[in-house]
Amino acid sequence: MLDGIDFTLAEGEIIGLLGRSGSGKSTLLRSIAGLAPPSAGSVIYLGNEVTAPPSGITMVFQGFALFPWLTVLENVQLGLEALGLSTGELHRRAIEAIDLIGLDGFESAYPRELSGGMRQRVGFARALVVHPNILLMDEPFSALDVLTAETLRTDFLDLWSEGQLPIKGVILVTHNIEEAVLMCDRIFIFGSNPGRILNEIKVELPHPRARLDPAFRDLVERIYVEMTTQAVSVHAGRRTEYFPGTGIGTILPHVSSNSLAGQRSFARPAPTSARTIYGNDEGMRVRTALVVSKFQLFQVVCRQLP
Amino acid sequence: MAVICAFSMWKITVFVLQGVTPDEVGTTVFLGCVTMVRVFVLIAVASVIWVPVGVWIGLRPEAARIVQPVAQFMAAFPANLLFPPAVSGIVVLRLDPDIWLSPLMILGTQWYILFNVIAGASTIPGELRDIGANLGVRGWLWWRRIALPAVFPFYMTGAVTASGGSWNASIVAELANWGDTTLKAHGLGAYIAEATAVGDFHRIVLGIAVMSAFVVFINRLFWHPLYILAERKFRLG
Repeated sequence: MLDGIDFTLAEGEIIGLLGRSGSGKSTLLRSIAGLAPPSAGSVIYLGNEVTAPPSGITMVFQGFALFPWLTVLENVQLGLEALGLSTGELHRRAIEAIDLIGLDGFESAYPRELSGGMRQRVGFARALVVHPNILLMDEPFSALDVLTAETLRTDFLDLWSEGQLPIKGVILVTHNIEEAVLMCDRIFIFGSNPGRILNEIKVELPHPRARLDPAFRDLVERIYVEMTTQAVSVHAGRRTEYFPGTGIGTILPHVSSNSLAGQRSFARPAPTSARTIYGNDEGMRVRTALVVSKFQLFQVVCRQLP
Repeated sequence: MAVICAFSMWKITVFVLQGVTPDEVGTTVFLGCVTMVRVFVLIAVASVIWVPVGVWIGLRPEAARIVQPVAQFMAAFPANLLFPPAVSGIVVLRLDPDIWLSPLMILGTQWYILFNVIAGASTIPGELRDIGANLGVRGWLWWRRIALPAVFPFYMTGAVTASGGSWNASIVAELANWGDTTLKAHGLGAYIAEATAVGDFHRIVLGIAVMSAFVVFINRLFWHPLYILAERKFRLG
């Protein structure tokens, strides 16, 4: 369930969607990819509404999603075959992409013979070989160990900075704050219940970014505070008793002592602005209105039962 | 174990040769080949029809939930109850039994292919389907690279079961009665059925021994290697 998402991706930037699990960021990414049409609202890509997976947008998944019965070369070639290129052309481009991401020599290996990092490289090659405009990444480094993930991140950023990646924009979904600050130019912080953009943070640090850099650490700290502070204020005022009827664990609403003493009437604070609109000339706009699917309604009803 | 087998085979050979000439053994083998061709053709036809249907149903959980129990019921339903109307049709329309009695063999066993393929298609991981949609893989390319390889191990299970069942069904399907008309197709099943009707034990044993030999050899030389391939190359995860 997503509410009021509105942002624009401009050319040459990496956007990060940062939030806890379940805040709807993967759902949003799937809507952008045309895999899960929104119940209300629209996704507009290059001026047209997205109803089916559009060409020019490809995805990299957390679980690599390689076909186990195809070799590395065949996996990478799949997108090109779908475009209907000639055999010589698609072979050449596939080899080029495999060389680019550093898997030269592994063309005839099967995915089960590869390590996790290598499999994700194949995933990248497959997504990049069709020269998409926008690359969507759904927590691409989460299933890898720390060192492999770091290697892949820095390799990706190196290629991106040098302009060797044939893509114009990237949308990265992650739950790792440091990863978001390391890679993204703009970060949208997501909240849950309903999923919405809490804040937008611009990262203007130059590449390559160092994790120990004071500016980097400040930003990470700031984002961390944002994400955790918002969580508290969202829950304040809601009764969430651990043992119903006893009052144990209830989160009390924020009330000033003046209003408790009767000297001031209780005023509801203005809601935080959740929208950020950028007027870039080229790019992509996402608008998703409040949707309550039948499934969500069922969930809500269940929560109210004792 | 090997000693018991060798002893039994020797006993069978001695018993059979008491009642039939070696020529007839040759004829029986030839009839076995005819039935074998018939079974393979029927499996191929059933596959071409039911694999696409099974994939289509398996990819839609709602449809799969309804169709799966129905297909399993159809597989368990005794197909010979449906024989009389079919046989009467063949008699009335004066159709060639060699061609038209054959579908009766696959009538009950084609469902094994269907529900195994449905099971296979419903377990294709969502991410693989998403990648296919994302890259715009459609039409024959989608079948060749995604759908058919994904259901291949499941299809193998269904095809082996259907094949075995069809061999069994040939005994009742290749020789069919309607009133006082007897329809007979050329094949090993008809041979066994005729011998059973007359009570000629030598021929019964010969027929069954030849059929068993055919099934075992086909399994060893054809189905088993394919199954190994399916396990090695096409199994997910």
